[in-house]
Amino acid sequence: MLDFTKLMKFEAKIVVVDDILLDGEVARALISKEFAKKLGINKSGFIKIIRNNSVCFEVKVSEFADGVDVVLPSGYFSAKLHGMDKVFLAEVEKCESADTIS
Amino acid sequence: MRVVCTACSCLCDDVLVKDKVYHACRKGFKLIKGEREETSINGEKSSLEESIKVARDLIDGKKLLIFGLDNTTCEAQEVALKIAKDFEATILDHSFIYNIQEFLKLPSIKLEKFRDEGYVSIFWGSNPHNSMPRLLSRFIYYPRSGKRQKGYEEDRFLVVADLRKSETAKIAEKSKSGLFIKIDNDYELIKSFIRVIEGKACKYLEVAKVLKELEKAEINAIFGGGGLLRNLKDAKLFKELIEKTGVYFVPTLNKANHRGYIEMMIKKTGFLAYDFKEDTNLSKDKILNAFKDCDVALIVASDPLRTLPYELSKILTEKKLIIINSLKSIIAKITKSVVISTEISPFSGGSMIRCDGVKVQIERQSEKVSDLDVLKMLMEV
Repeated sequence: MLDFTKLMKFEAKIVVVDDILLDGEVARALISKEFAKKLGINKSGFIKIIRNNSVCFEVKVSEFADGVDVVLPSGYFSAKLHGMDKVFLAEVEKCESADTIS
Repeated sequence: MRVVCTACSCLCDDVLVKDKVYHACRKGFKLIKGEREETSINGEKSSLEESIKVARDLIDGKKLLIFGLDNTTCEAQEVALKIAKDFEATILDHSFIYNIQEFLKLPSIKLEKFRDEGYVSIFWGSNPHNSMPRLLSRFIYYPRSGKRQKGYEEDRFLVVADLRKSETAKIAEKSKSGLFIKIDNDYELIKSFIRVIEGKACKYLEVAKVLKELEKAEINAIFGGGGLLRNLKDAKLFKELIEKTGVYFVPTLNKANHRGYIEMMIKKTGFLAYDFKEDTNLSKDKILNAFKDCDVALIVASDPLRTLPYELSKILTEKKLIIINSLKSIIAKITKSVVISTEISPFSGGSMIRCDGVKVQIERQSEKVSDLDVLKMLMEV
């Protein structure tokens, strides 16, 4: 059956924070339960955030993202999106894989 | 052996390293047991002497930018400043992202005094659960100490003001002695405090409860994190809030010796970023050009690809780099650079300034070269 959630884009409120520990070579993020449901993500999945450059994040559905749609750890990947603004709106869609450092 | 953990600016001095690491938080454990950088030139292993020589050749006669320094010792920071002067380089750290200079002039309190007497702690734009994992348990919320023997059950009150429900916010929300204020705008919260004190209506109704709790004790403090320091353009209104409520202010800077760098730079140059070639302060709008104009960048104890905005970190990856670091970094992995591996600061000796301004001495526990040794060698070779 065709997964229609793959074709859907949503506007999300995104916050970049210094103080979450999600280091690693794969782009990772936290996502609120409500927003994950909208995108059709159950426990974990991948999202693409589109703003200036499009960056793909592996996301874990987590209640830590309460209050905003997506929380990104500051770092190499999120820096591609935010510039000096750490709170911003961007389009988000479901995708198949996350970016890695190579 | 007993070491001072330098994973964050809590600088815990009770960490034991034996066959296992005892008392360290997960950040501390990652620092002490983390994978180390290897000394190399353009990705190929090299000796220390060879790397220093190549690094010195790169620096000589070139426009140098020195960046990082927030996670190294005060002594290494001073030598880096001397190199900047001698080579007419530009020196800066992460401070330009924050508006920190004005905040450090606010009345502050030592963490030990807060542990013994403090009642209300307001974490504003800060999530110590991750940035300074042992801060709440060693000093702020959980300890039974001095006048506060009943701990968090009765003798402490935790307030978290943040735009997301962080882990610390959850602790505050669940606790009977805590409160979470979800904010959209830091200025609005400051104004709410001031308006309630003046007897006027305000946006954030929780403020009235916080002010009531503040009246119960003399020692209360705001712990301001990156969220607060980055968002406020100036500290004027915040200063008014501090004066009216009589609370203390402690910046919760998560880089181990960020405060050490700021204090050194203000004392020696009067500014947080300085261009010694032009003999002038490097204001925020000149930083992009400083990155573009440099020929070589000397990165000390930092991974700019994790911490800087992309516009800046991208420029760095196109420059010739000398990286002095202990733990594996992304920038060393993806660029062709001279990498010099040093001992991690808990073993390397020296001193650091804790987030509340207390100088902490670190005993030397290892013979491996430190950041300080390498910077000295770079000058002397």
